[in-house]
Amino acid sequence: MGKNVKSIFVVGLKLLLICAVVAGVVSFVYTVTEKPYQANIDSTKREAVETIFGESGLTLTELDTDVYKVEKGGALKGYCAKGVGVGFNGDIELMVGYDQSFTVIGVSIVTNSETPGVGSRALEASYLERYKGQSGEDADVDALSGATYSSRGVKAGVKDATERLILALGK
Amino acid sequence: MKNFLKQLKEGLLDNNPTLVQLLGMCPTLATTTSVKNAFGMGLATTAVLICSNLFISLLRKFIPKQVRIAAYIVVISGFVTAVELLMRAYFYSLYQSLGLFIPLIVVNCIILARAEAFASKNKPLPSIVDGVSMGLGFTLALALLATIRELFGSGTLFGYQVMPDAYEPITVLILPAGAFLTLGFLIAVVQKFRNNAEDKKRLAEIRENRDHATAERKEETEA
Amino acid sequence: MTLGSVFLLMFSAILVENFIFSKFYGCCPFLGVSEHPDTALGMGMAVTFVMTVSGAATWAVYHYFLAPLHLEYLKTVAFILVIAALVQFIEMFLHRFVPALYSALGIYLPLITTNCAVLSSALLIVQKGYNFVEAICFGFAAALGFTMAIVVFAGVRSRMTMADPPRAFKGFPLTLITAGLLAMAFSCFSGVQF
Repeated sequence: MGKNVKSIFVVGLKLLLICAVVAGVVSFVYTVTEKPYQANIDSTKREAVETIFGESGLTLTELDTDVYKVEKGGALKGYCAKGVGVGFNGDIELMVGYDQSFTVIGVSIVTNSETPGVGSRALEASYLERYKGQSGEDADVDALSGATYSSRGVKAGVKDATERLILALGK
Repeated sequence: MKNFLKQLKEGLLDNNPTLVQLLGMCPTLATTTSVKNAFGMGLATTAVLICSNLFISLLRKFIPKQVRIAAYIVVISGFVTAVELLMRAYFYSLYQSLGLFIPLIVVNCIILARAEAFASKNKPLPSIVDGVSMGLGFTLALALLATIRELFGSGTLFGYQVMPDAYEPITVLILPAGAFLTLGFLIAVVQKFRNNAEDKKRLAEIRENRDHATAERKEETEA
Repeated sequence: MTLGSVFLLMFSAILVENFIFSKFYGCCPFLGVSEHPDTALGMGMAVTFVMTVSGAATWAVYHYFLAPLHLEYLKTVAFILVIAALVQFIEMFLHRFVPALYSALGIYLPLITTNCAVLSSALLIVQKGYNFVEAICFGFAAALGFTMAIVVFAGVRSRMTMADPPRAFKGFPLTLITAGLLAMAFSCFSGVQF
């Protein structure tokens, strides 16, 4: 009996040791990679915003989760907010840019799983262009035929982003 | 050296983990919508496979028999997390497009199968070679499937337009249904080759037996 | 959170975002243990049981252990350990107290640890930021979708044993092609909205 208990103890200890070593290795990798990862997130976000505004060297200040004030050299350029809409195959995440008077100046898609060649037509730049100059809350953009659900998802995403921006600014 | 080459051939062709052993179906079906994703997934799995094979082979005398599967899973999941962290730091766009399938490498049967069947019984060096050959076999199968799906499903390769503009892509190949269909036909082709090889071998055997029998009979009559 | 939103979440997890036909989670048991409707149902029930419980367990581990300690990056390691331990525990529990269910599910239980549907549902619950009730409902519904897919598929396959396909297609290739046709049928559910 005593031997049995001892062997269980040894087995447990060995397993614990393996777990500890693995956790240690993973933690080490985590500390090394955390900074470049955060930098990646920042640069992806910045790229999306900069393509919308069409210029570089912008300063982003986070007002709320995924809602940003966009400035250049201290002058207010506009706002940016992330929104989510339900498309044909799940969520469409997008970034919407606004000018100072809260008119949409551009939409860019962050992630989607729409059907390539069918629904994805509603995510192309030529279609997203139509949101330019619209109000985000009630954009007057027709759905693409054959890609109704995806178009609807984009519209819902833009509306969601606008609502978040309004909430963040407290207006 | 000759042994290693034999092992490599085993993993890439004769005993290909995906096309012959039919292991690791989830990532094979899910990440082959584009060649880039397929290579990313294949190489990430290969990295985990090499590391876990080496580690488990080194620890094969240390790991207690009763809890070996649990120990393997801990080691594998550790390496998978490390690979995930490295990918999101240095290959961010690939990390985003593979999504949940990177952590799911943990439950890829290929890795656990090689740990149990090979690494736990062999020295570190052959285990590494086994990891390389099986990993590359997996990558090869994924790349093959992805090439077919991307080329005909969206007319591109590595994201570049390859097919002429007049080509109307067969969208279904990119959809989930297309994954099942393409893999089904691909494995059918592999089976066809294997059947042919088997038939040839059997035919040769029968011939040899017959020749042998006639030779014997001849001897008998002569005697 | 209303009853309606829970219903919506479950409906979408069962049909629209079916684990097998649109996400490819859990394809190994789907293709491996689907030769007979009875065994498929057994596997489905075992998965449903484990996935519901593990959904709750991993949610608790994440929100009460990993998140407060800022160890979110260890979630894959932690979840697979929780699932493996849970499967072991459920096996012992059923063996001791519900022998009938144990003998029905017995052989499928150990296979579930390496079923990627279970791990992916745990990871998805965290990723989508579900609360506790949603986590349980999602785990249950996704597993139900898995069960439905595997039972339907086994029904088709048991009929197919009578067919005489070309030799190269015998076995696995034909199974995959059948799955492809079923996936096409299931793709009709995508886009269903309320």
